[in-house]
Amino acid sequence: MRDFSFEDRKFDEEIRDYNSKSEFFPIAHNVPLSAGQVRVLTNGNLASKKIVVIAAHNPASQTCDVLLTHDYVEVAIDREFIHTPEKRTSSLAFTIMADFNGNVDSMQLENSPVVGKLCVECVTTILNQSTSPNLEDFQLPNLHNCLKRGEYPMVFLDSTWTFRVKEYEEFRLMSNIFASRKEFLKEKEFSFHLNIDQEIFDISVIIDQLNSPEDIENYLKSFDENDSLQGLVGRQSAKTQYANA
Amino acid sequence: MTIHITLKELESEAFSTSDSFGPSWKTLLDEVTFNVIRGNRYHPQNYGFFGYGASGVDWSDEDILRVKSSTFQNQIRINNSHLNLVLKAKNVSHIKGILGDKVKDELSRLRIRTVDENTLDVLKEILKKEFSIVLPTTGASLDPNHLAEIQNLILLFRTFKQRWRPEGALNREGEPYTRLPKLFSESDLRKSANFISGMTFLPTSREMWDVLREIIDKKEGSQAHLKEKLTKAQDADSYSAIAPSSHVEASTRRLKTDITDILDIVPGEERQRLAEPTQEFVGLLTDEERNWIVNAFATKNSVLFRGASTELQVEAVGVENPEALIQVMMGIKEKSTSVQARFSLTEEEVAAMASLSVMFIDPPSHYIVIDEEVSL
Repeated sequence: MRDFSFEDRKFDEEIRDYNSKSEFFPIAHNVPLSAGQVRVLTNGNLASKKIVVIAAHNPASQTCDVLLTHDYVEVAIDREFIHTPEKRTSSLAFTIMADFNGNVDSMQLENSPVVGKLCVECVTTILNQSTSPNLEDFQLPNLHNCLKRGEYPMVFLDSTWTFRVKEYEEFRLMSNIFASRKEFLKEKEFSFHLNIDQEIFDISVIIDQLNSPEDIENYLKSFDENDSLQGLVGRQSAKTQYANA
Repeated sequence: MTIHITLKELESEAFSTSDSFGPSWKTLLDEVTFNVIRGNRYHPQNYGFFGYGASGVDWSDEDILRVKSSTFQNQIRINNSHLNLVLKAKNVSHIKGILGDKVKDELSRLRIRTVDENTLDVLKEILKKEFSIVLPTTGASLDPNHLAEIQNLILLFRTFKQRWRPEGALNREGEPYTRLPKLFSESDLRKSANFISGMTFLPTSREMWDVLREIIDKKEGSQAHLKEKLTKAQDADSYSAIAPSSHVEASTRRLKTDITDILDIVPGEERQRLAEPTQEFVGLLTDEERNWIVNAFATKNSVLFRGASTELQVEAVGVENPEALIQVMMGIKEKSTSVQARFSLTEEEVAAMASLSVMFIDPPSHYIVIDEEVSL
């Protein structure tokens, strides 16, 4: 076992100084998805994780458009926007890869805590520009200096290039794959609405069967403490229906 | 020592408001820094630290702690990197791996720069600012035309005057300053940058490094000179001669002669006063007696040697049997007594002289590897 030396004590002081002076963004759990949030994107088996910024959330299709980030801020190229740690926005330092956006299922993000909240206008602008091949199009909205543009020049087959290719390959595996984005989202929205319609139909059938307070009591007794969402909804609706009656 | 820290602990610590870089992170960084530095053959002198051991390749604990502190300040603190790390990590081993990379990055940052490196950096800066070129990491190294162009670049560099300034060119440690002086004038480097921009395939950083090594004279401060210095030190490394079996590999670090430990024990004035009697004492010793002295005083497991079995001691000293070993020890005693009488030394001074004698003894012909677990 090493001695507790002067260097050890000095390091402890440095850490104490860091811990006392640092102001961190308060991370939040179980928060509904919304644009501007910084979250961790996972795939099913948690083998790969990426930090992403939600640029748009579509509750109907249960998907999100996200922008990929990486944390090598010192090699941020001119298609990337740098975020430096700040209590107001996020304690993380990362760069938003403006040309790397992807559509992911909401459930891939829902379990992650919110580790940052960026300016929604900036993020939306970046998303809208992301498919442009023209470098001049990558600009933040006027009078916004929420993020800083990268300056590191990228060269074909340079290490920055290969790093970006690798990052995108991994990111692509975690995103929704579709031939036509419009068709894909339409289909997702349709199946979402179909599920809701089914739920409503089921509830109305149950309500029709509840004609007296005894029916309702018997119905409620059929659920235990861990009943399903459908049961809960049904119970609430039944109560309302009865109250109205 | 393996430390058991879970990902959950690291995560909850990282996102706690009062103790973000808490005890678990500190322990992990400590473990990783020691493993990276001790597990690799980094020369401390290359990073501005004093090297210990016979060939100066051993790191002191304090210097490793300095690297750890520097890693924290420059690689973690600035960007709260541990937060990104814990969010993206799959498990604790993954975090250890990335922290290890950060320690290596910090070592690269701390590395004492050479004239070659200065030149390459200035050239890269000119290429980037004036020609919008960044040297790639992969290139057309097998293309004959590219190789011919590289040769032409070497010829171009040879026409430039190298400005070696012996006075003021190097700092007090005999190494070049971080940025200056420039070995080549900027106009010359601009010419070479112009040549590079016109090449069919851009040279890689590695190729440019080789080009510069080819043309820069082997003088103090150059990469070639530094490499030569380190190679010499490596050759002088006495313990590298002993590697009879694989288990020895792991134990060899403990065996290195650590003169600095002895210097710490014997004060400077006393060392000067004892120099003459020590030299005389060493001159009287036989090879076996010298082996005994080195094993008993100069290796990191000297204590183990003295407590080891007679068979092991016999093997280490290179004598045939225990009787011969006793003869060796008697011989040392006899010779030290004669020197003591001649120079009127006290018992303490004789003991100090015996320790100091290691400094005057060439690497011994015999060493012994004592496995701590077996011996203790």
